[in-house]
Amino acid sequence: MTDSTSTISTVPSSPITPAKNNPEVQDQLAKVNQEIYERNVELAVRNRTLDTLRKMYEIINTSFGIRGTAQRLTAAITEELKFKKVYLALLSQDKSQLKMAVRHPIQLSEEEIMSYFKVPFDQISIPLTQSDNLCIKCVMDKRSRMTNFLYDLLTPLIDEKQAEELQKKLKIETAIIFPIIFGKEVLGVLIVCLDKHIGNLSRAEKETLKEITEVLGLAIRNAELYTSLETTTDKLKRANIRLQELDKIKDEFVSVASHELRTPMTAIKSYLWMVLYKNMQPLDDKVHTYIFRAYESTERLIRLVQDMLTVSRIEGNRMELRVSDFNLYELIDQIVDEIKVKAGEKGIRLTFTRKVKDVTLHADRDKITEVIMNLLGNAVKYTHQGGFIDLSLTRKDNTIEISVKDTGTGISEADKSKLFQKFSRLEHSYTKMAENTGTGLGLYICRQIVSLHGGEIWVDSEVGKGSTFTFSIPQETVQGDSHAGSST
Amino acid sequence: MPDQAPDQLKGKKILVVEDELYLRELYVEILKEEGFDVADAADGQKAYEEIGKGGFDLILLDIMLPKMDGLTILKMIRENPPVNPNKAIVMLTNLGHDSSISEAISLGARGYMIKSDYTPEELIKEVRHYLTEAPPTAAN
Repeated sequence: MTDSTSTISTVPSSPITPAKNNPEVQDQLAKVNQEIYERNVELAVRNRTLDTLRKMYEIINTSFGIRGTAQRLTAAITEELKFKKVYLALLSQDKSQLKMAVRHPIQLSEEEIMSYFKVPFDQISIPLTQSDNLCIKCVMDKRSRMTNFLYDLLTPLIDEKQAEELQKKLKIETAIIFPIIFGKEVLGVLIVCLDKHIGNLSRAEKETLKEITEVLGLAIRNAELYTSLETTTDKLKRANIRLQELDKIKDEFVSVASHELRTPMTAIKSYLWMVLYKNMQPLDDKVHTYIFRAYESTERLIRLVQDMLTVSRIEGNRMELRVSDFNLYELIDQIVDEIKVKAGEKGIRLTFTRKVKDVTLHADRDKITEVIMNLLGNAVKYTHQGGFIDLSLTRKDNTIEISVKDTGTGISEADKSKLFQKFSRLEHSYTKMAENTGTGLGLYICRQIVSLHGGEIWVDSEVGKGSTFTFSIPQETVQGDSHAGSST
Repeated sequence: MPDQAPDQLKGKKILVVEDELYLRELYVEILKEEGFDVADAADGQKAYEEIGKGGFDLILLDIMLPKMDGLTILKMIRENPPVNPNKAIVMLTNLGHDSSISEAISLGARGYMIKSDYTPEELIKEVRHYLTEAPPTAAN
C-alpha cells in the first residue's frame, strides 16, 4: 500500500527529505521517515474515524425511524470521511432482495434515475438470487468488495453501456462495498464511492470502514426495533380507540334498549296497578295474588333494566355526578318515611339516629338517595318480623358516615367478599330470604357511587345477629355544622 | 286517589305529550278522573302546536317523540315563547338519569318524572305537586 491509496485522510504533511551524505543512513532515515509518515496518516485516519463515530452515536441517539437515521448517518460518513458518494442498501423484510435505501449527496434527480432504472431511487432492488452482482456477493459471504466498474454493482438492472455512462456522470472511479452486519445477520450493504482510481485501502481505512459499518448495523437494527415498537404501539393505540368506540356503541345500545324495554314495561306495570287498585269489582283472592305477583315482577324487571344501564355507564366510565348542595337530614327523613311503610308491613321498626347536627352535603342527591334506599331496602329484606333497623349518621375525622344496622340474618365471612360484586350469588341463608327479589347489582352500584364521591362502603356482620352497612362521604364534599348532637 | 273534594285544582289544564298509545290513553284517563281538563298529543309536531296555543297549567312532555323531540320543542318555545304562556313543563320520560334530562332542565323544564318509576297514583301526586307549587319563573 502506498500513500497514493490513502483516501480517507487528508495527508498531514509530506515525507521529510532524506539527508544527502550517507546513502545507508539516508536509506535508513528515509525508511523511518516513511514509517513516521505512514503512522501519521494512520493516526489522522483514526482520529477522523473517532470523530465520525462520535457523530454517528450522536445521530443514533437523536433520530428515530430507519429512513431518518440512515439518511443522517450516510451524510455524516460521506462528509466526515470525504467520500465522493455513499449509498446504503438494505435487505427487504422477507430477505429476498437488496433495496436501495439512502444516498448522499443526491446528485441525480428522480427523473434521471427513472430513465436508467425505470423506478424511483428507493425502489431500486436487486434479488438475492443475482449471484454475479457484487453487492449480493457481499451480502452472501459477508466480505467487502472493491471495484472500478459500477456495472458490477448494478447488473442486471442496467446494461454495461448505461453503467459506464452513469459512472461518468457521477464521477466515480472506485466503489467499495461493505456488508452491514448485526450479530450474525446481514442487514444490507454500505457502498462507498471515490473519485480516484485506487487498487486497495490502507489497513487503517479498512478498520475505519469496518467500525463504521458495525455502528451502522447497530443503528439500523436499533431503528428497526424502534419502528416496530412504534408500529406496535400505534396498533395498540388504534385497537384501544376502537375498543372505546365499541364500548360507547355498547353503552348507547344498552341505553336505547333500556328505554325501549321500559316503555312497554311501564304500560304493563301501570295497567296491572289499575287492575289491583282501581278495579270497581273486588278481586278474587287468588286472582289478586296472581296479578300482584305479575305487578311485582314487572317492577323488578324495570329495576333490573335500570341497574344494567347504570352498570354499563359505570364500566364505560360514563357515570357522571350531578353535584348540588342539599340537606342530608331532609333527604334521609324522606327516604325513611317511605321505607317505614314497607318495614311496618313486615313488623320491623325503623329508626333514624342523628349524632351530628344538620349536614349539608355537596354531592349527587339522586345517587346518594339510591345508595341509602338500597341499603335500607336490603335491611328490610333480610330482617325477620319483629326485627329492628337503625340508620345513623356520624362524623369521623373528615368524613360523614352513614350506617344502616339491622338485626337480620347476617352475612357469612365467605359471602362478605362477594357482596359488592356484580350479580353476586351468596350461599347460606342470606339468599333464601330474598328469593326472586333483587337484581344482584344493587351493592355493586352502591360501591361505585360511593367511590365516585371519594368515599368507601363496607359491612360488619355476624351470622344470626345482623349486619351493619356503612358508607362514608369525605369532608371535601361535605359542608355542615360539626357540632355533635343527638335526636331521633 | 279517591276524590279530594273540595278540589281547587279541578279544571286545571294539562297537556299530555306521549307517543305510546297505551300510556297516553292511561295518563289521559286517570288525569281526567281527577277532574283535570286534559289535552293530548302523540308526536312532537302536534305537541308544538298545542304548546304554542298556550294556557296550560302543566305540560307533561316526553323526550323521545316522533317528528320532533322534546328537547327541540323546549328550545323552540324558548326562542319563540307563546303569547299566551304555559305555567310549567315537566319532562315525562323513560330515559332514566340521562344527560338529556339535565339539558331539559337547563332549557326551562321545571322537573322530570321517570315513567317506569311511577304508579298511576304516584304520578297524580306529582302532578298535583307541580300544580300547587308556585312557579319560580314561568317556564315560558
